[in-house]
Amino acid sequence: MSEYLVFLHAVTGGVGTLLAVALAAVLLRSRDTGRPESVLAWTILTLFWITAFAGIWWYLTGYNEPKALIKAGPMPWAHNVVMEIKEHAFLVGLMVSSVLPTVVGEARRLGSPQARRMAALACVVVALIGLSMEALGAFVSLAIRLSMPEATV
Amino acid sequence: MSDKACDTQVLASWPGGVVVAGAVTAALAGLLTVAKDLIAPIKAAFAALAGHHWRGQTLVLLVLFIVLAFACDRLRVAERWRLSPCRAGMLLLAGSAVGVVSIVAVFVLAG
Repeated sequence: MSEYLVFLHAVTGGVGTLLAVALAAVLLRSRDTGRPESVLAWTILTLFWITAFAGIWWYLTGYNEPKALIKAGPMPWAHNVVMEIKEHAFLVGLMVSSVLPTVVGEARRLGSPQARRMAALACVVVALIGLSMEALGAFVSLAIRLSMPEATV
Repeated sequence: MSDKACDTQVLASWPGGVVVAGAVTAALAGLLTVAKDLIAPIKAAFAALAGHHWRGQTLVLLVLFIVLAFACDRLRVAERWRLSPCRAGMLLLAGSAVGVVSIVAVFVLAG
């Protein structure tokens, strides 16, 4: 069960991040904002909240053993610093992703380049935080692997 | 983009409220993390709320986001602040920067 939660967490976070990049590009290139952009914004919001629930659930039910391994291994700071930053900084991205459908809808109503740039900026913030989370997650995975007996990279 | 171009439009009341709520809660995600790391009773209060401090903090942020969005809508904050798309974008960016920088700082210094 634990492995499926990590998989769900990583995949929904990764797909949400890629969609945020795509939405930013569409908003910056197009002359008007329509229903597809709104659907994309709602999809990103949904994916990020699924990522949060899966991540919290896994952290509370499946992370104890990997945490003990990391702390006893050669990179204990992978939990104390990297994982702590990851689990808390994600909340910033989660809050900004919650704004996306509203700012995209407002960009659609106002119909100006400035309004589309506002929505694109929110997408870029979400994408940058999402990409950072993927990188930090990969780092935590590496620390777990290096902490295992007879570790190989 | 000049300031003049930035200020030609103002966000409607509800979207303006949501943007302010998003920026404030993004900043609070960081500031509450610093607070709970430095003040043990705050961490304990979050944990008591939802079984784990991280889950409690997420719940508090979600409730604050909703309450702030409705409050800012009722108080017509977007109209009073003349919240243009540019200002709204900058507000979201500033809130996110405060949140992320405070989180990175507290764990790098503590770690």
